[in-house]
Amino acid sequence: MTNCPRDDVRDRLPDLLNERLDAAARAEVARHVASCPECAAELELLRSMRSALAPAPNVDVARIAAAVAASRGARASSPDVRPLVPRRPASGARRIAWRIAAAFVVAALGVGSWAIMHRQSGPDVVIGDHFPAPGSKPVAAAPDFAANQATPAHPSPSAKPSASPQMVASTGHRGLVMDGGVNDLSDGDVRMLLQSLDSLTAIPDADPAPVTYPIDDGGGVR
Amino acid sequence: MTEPSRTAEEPDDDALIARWRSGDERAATLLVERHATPLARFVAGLGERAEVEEVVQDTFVRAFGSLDGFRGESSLRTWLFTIARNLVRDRARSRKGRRDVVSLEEWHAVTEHDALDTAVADETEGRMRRAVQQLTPMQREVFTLRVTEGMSYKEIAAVVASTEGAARVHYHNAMRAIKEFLG
Repeated sequence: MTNCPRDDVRDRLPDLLNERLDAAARAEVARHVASCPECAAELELLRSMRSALAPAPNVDVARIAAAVAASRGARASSPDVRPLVPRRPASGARRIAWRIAAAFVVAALGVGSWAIMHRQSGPDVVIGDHFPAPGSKPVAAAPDFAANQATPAHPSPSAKPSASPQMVASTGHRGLVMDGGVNDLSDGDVRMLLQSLDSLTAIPDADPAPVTYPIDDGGGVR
Repeated sequence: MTEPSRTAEEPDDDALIARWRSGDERAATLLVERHATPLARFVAGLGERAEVEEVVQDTFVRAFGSLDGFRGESSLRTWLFTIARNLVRDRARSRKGRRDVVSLEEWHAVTEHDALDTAVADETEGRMRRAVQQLTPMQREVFTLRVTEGMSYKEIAAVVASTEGAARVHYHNAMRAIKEFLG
């Protein structure tokens, strides 16, 4: 331990040792050391410590310099291309799924528009599945249902339903038949549908809320 | 405070960096010659004895690789020491991850049986080295940079990612611990 009160000088002893003081500071510190045995002893200790710690492992300077030059050459020859940000594997599949979902929505809207237009200008559209509700007046809305027009309102027990019941997504006794294919659309409707699909660019952030329609026992929608 | 002594004929680091940027490969060699040995000493002092040259080489390659972004806010020397220190720490962490010998807390602890110690014939120097070895890692770093490399507290703070005041405290605590060890 040292009792020297000149902390500022002791603080600069390593600088004196390593010749990092300007002339004025060096003179001041050296003058103090000459008159202070404790600081002189500490300076000597620092000198011994530096000597003890000074030996460094040999390093091959030429080899390191060559490595630096080689790395520079490698950088110069490599194109300046930013690394691509890795894409999440699920992203593409999710995008496709959303597009398919959007296509179905647009198709439903297109069919709905078509059905509404035809309802206003023509006979009522068939509502429900192949077995209309009692009292309903089935009118075919699409060529697929032409055969169903002959179906009685109340089918006989022997009458067999379609092998794959068609889904109803209509309201009341009038509404939309969702089982119509794109082939059922007119040229104008198809064109409109395609334009709508082309304009789809945004990807929704969340799943669309499910839409449910209450369906009464008769197959119609309340 | 002045920079380490250098002959008038020798260009300073900034001049050599400018020459290297303009394509002078010789400038890189001069910079390596100037800083390789202090870096090797520092790296060895951190306990990285087996692969000192590899660390020093990696330090220079990384430094020159990003020299375009070097704005000279700190000296090249400080920058090199900072890179070297980070490399040694990364290696220590890597070794720890591989359940190797050195733990992170002991990442620059030097064993008393290491090869360099056995090469130190002089008993006094051996005691000096052991006095440094018993310091805390931070004290050892600060003391080595201050005494062996002659860095200012400001430079040390930059290398060890601390403050000048903290560096000063670590140095004086190290000095007191060394004196106590040496009796």
